[in-house]
Amino acid sequence: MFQFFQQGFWHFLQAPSHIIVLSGLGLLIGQQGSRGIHIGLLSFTLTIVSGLLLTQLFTLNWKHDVVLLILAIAIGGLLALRLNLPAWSIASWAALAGITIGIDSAPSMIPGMKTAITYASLAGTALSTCLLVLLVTLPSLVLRSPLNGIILRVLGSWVTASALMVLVLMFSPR
Amino acid sequence: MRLWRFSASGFALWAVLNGPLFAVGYHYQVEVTSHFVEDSAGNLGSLKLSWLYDGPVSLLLFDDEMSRQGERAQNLAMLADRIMSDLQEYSYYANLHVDGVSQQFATVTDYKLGLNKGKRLKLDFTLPLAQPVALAGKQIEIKWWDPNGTGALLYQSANNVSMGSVKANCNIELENYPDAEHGEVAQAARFRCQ
Repeated sequence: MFQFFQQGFWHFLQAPSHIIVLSGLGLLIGQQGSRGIHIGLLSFTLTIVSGLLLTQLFTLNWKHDVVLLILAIAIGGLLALRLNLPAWSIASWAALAGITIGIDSAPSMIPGMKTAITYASLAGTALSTCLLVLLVTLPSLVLRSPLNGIILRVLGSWVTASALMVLVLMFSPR
Repeated sequence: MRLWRFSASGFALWAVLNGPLFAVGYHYQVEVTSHFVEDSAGNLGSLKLSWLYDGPVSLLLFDDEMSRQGERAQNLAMLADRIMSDLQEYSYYANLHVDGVSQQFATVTDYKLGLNKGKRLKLDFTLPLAQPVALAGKQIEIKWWDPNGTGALLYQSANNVSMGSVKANCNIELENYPDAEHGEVAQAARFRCQ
């Protein structure tokens, strides 16, 4: 069971889009200050758990990666613009990221596998994604003020550029 | 403070060592053996299948050490029920085409799960077709495909495909797709019967 918990914990490494969105979201909510961190983390935690649980109810055949990368482009743009976002906006962006990543993080399915193992994998994913957002949020909180927050604004443009690059690579012929 | 630093260092070490190991997801392999069963009219009615799971996934699904004496058969039966119930959702991973026409399957009711001497799970079951189909003069193609990208079901050789009375009149060939990624078909078995 611990093997599948680890499998779930490192699930975000299997998709570049997840890493880009999680990093961008962490930077964005850190940029908003302690209020943004509280609202953003709470919203993200609730929706990532919901999204993960939804993977047990149905499977969506949609281009998760494209949606996530478009979301990353938007988040990177907000980061670069250094806007003072209202609470509902922070919560919405975090919720959108949480629910999309959650739905796109269905655990490995082996016919006959016990449900407990599946939920161990989901728990690992929930823990790692929340930890990653939190870990990125902390330095972002420190960097939001020095030099008018230019470092975060540059990182925001990198998030957007990275997402665009992955998006282009996805559609390029092999 | 020292405990916190020790815990953080331990976590970082675990992360560095384990992260790459789990970055590719869980995958397992199944060795497939199939026997095409004809009815009295010479039509294909069902497939008798034998799936031999690899060692690690066998241990994951059924820890024989945990089964107390006398409960092993019962636990294997319960596992078999779960496996067949889950497989039904994915049409038993089977993609059978006769002259390009996709064939549908009925619900499997005849199945048995056991452990071989190497503690590997062996699932034997009969996969009935929803409608019997004539094979004579037809091109038959069968592919095994896990849409979740977790399992790789493969014939080890053409000897793992048998036909019954019409075998002498059938040419069987296996085509492997080495560039197939997880979630894609890795092998196709094709034959034409006279």
